[in-house]
Amino acid sequence: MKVKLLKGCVLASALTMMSSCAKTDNNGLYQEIKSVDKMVFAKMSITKTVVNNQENILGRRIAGYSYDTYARAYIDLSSFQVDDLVFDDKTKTVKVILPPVNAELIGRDCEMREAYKNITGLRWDLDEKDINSLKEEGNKSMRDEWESNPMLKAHLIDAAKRKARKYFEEIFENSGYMASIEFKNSKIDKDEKVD
Amino acid sequence: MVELCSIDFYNEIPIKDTIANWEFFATQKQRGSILFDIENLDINNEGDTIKIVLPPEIVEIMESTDDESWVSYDSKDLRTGRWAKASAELWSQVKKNALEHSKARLYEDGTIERARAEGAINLQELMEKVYRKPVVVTDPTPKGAHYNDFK
Repeated sequence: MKVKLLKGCVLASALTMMSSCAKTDNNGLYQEIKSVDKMVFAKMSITKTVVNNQENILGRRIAGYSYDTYARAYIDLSSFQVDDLVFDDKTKTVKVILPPVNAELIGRDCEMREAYKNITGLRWDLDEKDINSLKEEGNKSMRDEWESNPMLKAHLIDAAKRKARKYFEEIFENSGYMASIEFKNSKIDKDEKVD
Repeated sequence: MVELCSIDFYNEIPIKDTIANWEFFATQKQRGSILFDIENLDINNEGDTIKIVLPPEIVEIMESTDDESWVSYDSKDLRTGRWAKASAELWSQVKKNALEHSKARLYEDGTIERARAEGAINLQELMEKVYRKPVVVTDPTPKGAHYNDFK
């Protein structure tokens, strides 16, 4: 009985180890390269601060870090057609209907900047795993804020629209045309109202 | 700033690095783009054909904002041959190296070359709509303006 139980324990341990290894081994090489046709008009960085604040009988451990996440606003030129440019050669004007401006997150800093640290008593300093955990929490919080706070995107999109207007007005002025720039709304079709 | 983006890429890579008698293993999710600054293009508008020179590529590569974009698995002190905790500073260097290596790989595997070829086409199509004339985009460095930096 004891021997059988021991064998069962060894087998269970082996299976647990194998499943852990399988999970790790699944982090193989993955690469995706996508052809796109985007015009980027504005970028911004969003600074996130994360704090580890713990206190117990062994002491206090307070550490604050910050890092930047980056976003950009762009128009997708693949939906920009010849019909979106209406030239009037008599008045030397052109109406330009640009695709909607979209905003997306593009990445974050690898490193975190240490802002403050105070470790007392018998507490250990934060190690790599502790710092990564803090960053993961900060990342989730930042992504939630990006999705739920329209002001964040609105500011970036407005800046991009201003830049896009200026860019296309100048480029058409250089070719002898005065341009009026409009943007399609992101949720509606080309034939509907534009802003 | 006005940039034309011809390639977006996403990598999930295993990282093995050796720094200062330490060996590291981690995984990283990276996200990036290959872009061209088209705000101050070199445009020749004399004649029936517009001639434009494709500018140097801008390679942006960063850690992704997905969950678990960085997972550190192991650090080994090579002097003892045993697992040990490496400092956060050494791990920072591993992360920096990982992005640099990935950038070099983009030049080696032809991704930059492809981005430049597609960027030239995208730019030509855009400018032909704007100028209503044939446009020729020339590329003085098809493998990449910074190719030699990574050879």
